[in-house]
Amino acid sequence: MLKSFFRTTNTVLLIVAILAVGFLGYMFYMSVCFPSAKYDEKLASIEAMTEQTRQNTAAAERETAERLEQLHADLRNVGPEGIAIADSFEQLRAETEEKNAQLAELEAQIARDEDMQGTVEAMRKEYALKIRKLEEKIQSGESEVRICYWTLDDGPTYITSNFLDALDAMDNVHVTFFAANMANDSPNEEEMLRREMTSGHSVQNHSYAHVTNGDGPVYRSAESFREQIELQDAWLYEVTGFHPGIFRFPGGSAWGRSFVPTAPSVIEELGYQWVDWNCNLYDAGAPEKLPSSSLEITRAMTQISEKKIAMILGHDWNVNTLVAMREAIPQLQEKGYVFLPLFQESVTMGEATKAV
Amino acid sequence: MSEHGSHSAHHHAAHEKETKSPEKHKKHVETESPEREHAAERARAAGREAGFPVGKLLIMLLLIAVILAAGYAGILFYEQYTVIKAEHDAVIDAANAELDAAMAEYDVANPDSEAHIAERKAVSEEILREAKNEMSRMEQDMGALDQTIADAESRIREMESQEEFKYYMSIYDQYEQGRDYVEELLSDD
Repeated sequence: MLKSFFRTTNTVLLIVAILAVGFLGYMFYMSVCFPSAKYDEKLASIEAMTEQTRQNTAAAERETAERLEQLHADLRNVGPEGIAIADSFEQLRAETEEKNAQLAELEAQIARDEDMQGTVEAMRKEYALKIRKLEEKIQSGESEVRICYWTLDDGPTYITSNFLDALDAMDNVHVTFFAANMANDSPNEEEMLRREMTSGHSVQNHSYAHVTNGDGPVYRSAESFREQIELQDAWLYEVTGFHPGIFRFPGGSAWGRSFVPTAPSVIEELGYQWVDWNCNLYDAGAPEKLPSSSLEITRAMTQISEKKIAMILGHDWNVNTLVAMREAIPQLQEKGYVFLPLFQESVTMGEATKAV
Repeated sequence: MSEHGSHSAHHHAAHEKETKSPEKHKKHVETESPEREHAAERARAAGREAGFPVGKLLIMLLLIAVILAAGYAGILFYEQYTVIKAEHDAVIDAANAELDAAMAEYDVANPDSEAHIAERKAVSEEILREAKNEMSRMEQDMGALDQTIADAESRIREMESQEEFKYYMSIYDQYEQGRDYVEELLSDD
């Protein structure tokens, strides 16, 4: 029994052993003697096909380019409709661009026209900043130009138009009118104010009532003082369309501050600046408003000649001032003075004039 | 002669001395016949076969060892083979992929393809159609643009005809001239 078992088992094991040795031999062959050559051959074949395909592609691309070129040529040759459309298209596009630019310009003009006050304000600011720059150059000695801010207080008056006529007759001469509503009666005050504006002059605030005594509406109290400035501001805005930004005290700042010491801070709170003058024509002395003497005018002219930036105090109700101005301005122009309007943005001379 | 044979001969001689009778002799001869010897031999062989077959066991163990060793070595070589084969297959796959890509490029570039020619023609026609549509749209827009420009010019004329506008425009012109004048003064220095 045992013998039979061993015999059978050994036979089976022998077969298995033969198979195992065979497997070992095959695997040994496959791993040690791997058929790389077969693979290499296959790889070479694939690479050759790839290279050939690439060459075919390059040739095809060249041919395609030639055919496309020919297609375009054909379109131009046998397709007048296409050419016409293309030409029209280009022309239309150019026209559209041109008209769009024209429309943009018109729209900008409409926007400017619809807000002319803002447009004028913007231009005024540009102008004022140029003047300020010129002032700074003069003060630093970089410029030989002299500036004369000729100011005329208390208007409009019955002879303001004469002043304007005289100024209009001169090139590039602009002055500043410190207007006071109640200072002088004039039948055409509003017309004069607007003419002052359209002539390129500056219109500023000289109080509404222009009463210089301490118990009057201007200097009675700080509140009254403020009210006077605001009333005049509102009137000037109503008439001219612009708020002035500079105040001149009736009688001068020293006089006004003696009654209302807080006046400068009131002015500042209202967003204003204030100025006095550094040259005086002394043309307001006579109670009955008679013309000043030529001696006083000559004295004022001497004062002006000493200033690089002169701020002249005059009055546009004085006929003698009108006469003197006609004579003085050409003389001063010969001395290098230019006559510019006074704007809030350009008042760098404000502190200097306050010292006078 | 074997020990067993020697012993039988000795026993036979002794027995002859003790019994010299023919009957006894005859009986003794009968007892030692070839059949009996053969039977005795078989009995001895059977006795020998009744022991453990050590030789066969050793053969079996040897075969098992051979199987295990061969199998293990075969597996090791198999693993080595699979690695090498995978590497080669990867190279072939990459080459095939490159070939496929090249052929795809060729398909795209191939000017002989009718589909491509048709496509190009369709594109040309589409461009032409698009240009026509665009031109038509632009012509309509141009008409609207002309009207808008006319309206704007009319609006400007209307505004500029108003006295208030003229007033502001006069001031603007004066300020602009003044600015240019001061600019000249600045540049002169």
